[in-house]
Amino acid sequence: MEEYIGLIKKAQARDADSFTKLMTNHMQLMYKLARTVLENNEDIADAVSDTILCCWENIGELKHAKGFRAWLSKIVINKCNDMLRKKRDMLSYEEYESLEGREDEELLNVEWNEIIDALDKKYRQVIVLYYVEGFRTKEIAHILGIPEASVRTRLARARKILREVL
Amino acid sequence: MNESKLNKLSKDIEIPEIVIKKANDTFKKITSLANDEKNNDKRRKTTWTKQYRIAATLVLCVVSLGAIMAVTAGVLSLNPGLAKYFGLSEGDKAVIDEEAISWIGLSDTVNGVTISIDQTVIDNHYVYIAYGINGISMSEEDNIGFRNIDITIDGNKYAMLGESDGYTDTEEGEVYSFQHILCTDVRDNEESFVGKTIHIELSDLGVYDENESVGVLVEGTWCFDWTLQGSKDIRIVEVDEELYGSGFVVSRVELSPISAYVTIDIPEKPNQYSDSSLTYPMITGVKMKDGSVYLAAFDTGGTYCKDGAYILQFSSRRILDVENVESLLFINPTAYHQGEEITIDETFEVRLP
Repeated sequence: MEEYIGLIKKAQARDADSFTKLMTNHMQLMYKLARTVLENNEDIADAVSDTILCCWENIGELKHAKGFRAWLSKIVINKCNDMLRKKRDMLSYEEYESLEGREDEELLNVEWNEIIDALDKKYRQVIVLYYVEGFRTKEIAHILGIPEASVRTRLARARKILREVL
Repeated sequence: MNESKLNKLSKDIEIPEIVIKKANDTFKKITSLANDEKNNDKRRKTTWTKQYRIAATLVLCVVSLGAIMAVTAGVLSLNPGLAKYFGLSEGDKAVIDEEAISWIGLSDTVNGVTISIDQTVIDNHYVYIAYGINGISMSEEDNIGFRNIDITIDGNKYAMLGESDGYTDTEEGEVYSFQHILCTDVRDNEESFVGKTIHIELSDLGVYDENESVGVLVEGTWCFDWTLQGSKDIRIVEVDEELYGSGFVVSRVELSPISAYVTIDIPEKPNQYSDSSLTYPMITGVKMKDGSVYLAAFDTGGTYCKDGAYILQFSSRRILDVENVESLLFINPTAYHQGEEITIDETFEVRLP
C-alpha cells in the first residue's frame, strides 16, 4: 500500500514515469469499466486515452491518494458517457443503433463479455465496481452519482438477472 | 446464484491491442509534456536563481527599457523594485492600467525588523508583491530570504513562484533597506484576484547560502492580511491559426499587461522536427502595432494541458500595452538554432485579429 501511495504522490509531483506505471497498473480497471458503457473497442481506446490525459492534467488536485481508484473510476465513466453523447449527437438514432454492439470478429474475453452482455448497461457498472473492483455501495454511489439505495437495488437486480441467465 | 461466474469477472482479461496502442501513445505524449514542463520549470528556476546572484544594479542593466513602452498612459507609479523588475526607470511612462497597481502600506515589526508591504500588481494568474525590509545589517551581496513563505488567497494556498532582488538601497552605513518582490503563479485561474483577501506569512529571515538554503538571522513570523485590488481588464482574442505546419492551432489568446495565456489545440499526430527537441509550441515574444519587436517578452510561467488543449501561461517581463500588441511570436523549430539567442527570423508570427 505504501508503495502504491508513493507512486500516486510521485505522479502528483509530475513524474511521468510514475504516472505511466500507475495508470498501466489500472488498465484492467479502465478497460473493464469502459466496456460497461461502450461496446466498440475503438471508442473504448479513445475513452481510455482521454481518461489518461485527464488524469495527468488533474492528478495534482486529488486530495487523498487513497481515493485514487474511485477518482479514476469516475473519470473513466464520465469520459465514456461523453463519448456516447458525442456519437449520439453525430449520428441519427438508427445509425447509432446499427453501430452499437461489438465487432463480430471479437473473440477476446468471450466468457467475460458474455456475463457483461447479459446485463443492461446500468447494471453492468455496479456489478463491475462491486464484484471486480471491490468498492462499497457508498463509494459506488459517489462514483456513479446516484443514491446508495439505487446501488443496492441495481446490485440485487443484476444478481437476479445473472442467476436467471447464466 | 452462480458465484463462480461473478468471480470470473474479477479475473484479468485481455485488453485489445487498439486500446493498449492508444494508451501507449498517450503515455508518450505525457512524457513529452512532462519534459516540456520540466524544461520550463528549469528555465523558471534559473531565472530567479540568477537574480539572486546578480547584484541589483546588474539586473537593471540586463533589462533595458524599450522606448515603445512610453506610449500613452500616465507617469509610472510603480514601486522601485517592481519598476526595475519590469525594466522601467523613474520618469518613464508605462501603459499599465493605473488600476492594476495598488499601494498597500502595511508593515509588521518582529524582533526589531520591520517588513513593509508596499505595492501589488495583479491579474488572473500572477500576483506581484513588492515589500521592503528595514532594521537588519547585512552585506550588499547577501541574498536575503525567508525559511518559509505562505501565501493564501481566499483560503487557497498558492505556491510562491520566486523572489527577486529588484532593488537594494543603502541607508546610514551598514543598515540596508531591501526591496523584494514575491510572485505567485496560479494555473488556469479564470477569475480575477481582484477583491479577494490575501494572507501572507513570512517566517525566519536570513540569507541564502551557496546551497540555496536560508541561514536564519532573525527568527519570527511577519503576517499580513489585505484585500487585493487591481484591474480586471484583459484582452481576449479568438484566433484560428496553425503554427508553422505543425498541426498545432492557436485558438485563443488572453493578454494582460503582465501575462499571456494561450490556448492551443493539439493535433492527433504532431509533426516532429528532427533538428529540434521542441515538439510542443513555445511563445517567445510580441510584435507591437508600431513594428517594435520584443523577442524575450515572456519569462516565468509554464505549460500544461487542459480539456485536451495545450496551455501556455507566462508572465511578461515587460508591462505590455495589450491593445497595441499586433502579434505573438512563437519559436519556430524549423528555423531556430538551439542554444543560440533567438532572432526574429526564427520565430513564427501569429497576428491577433
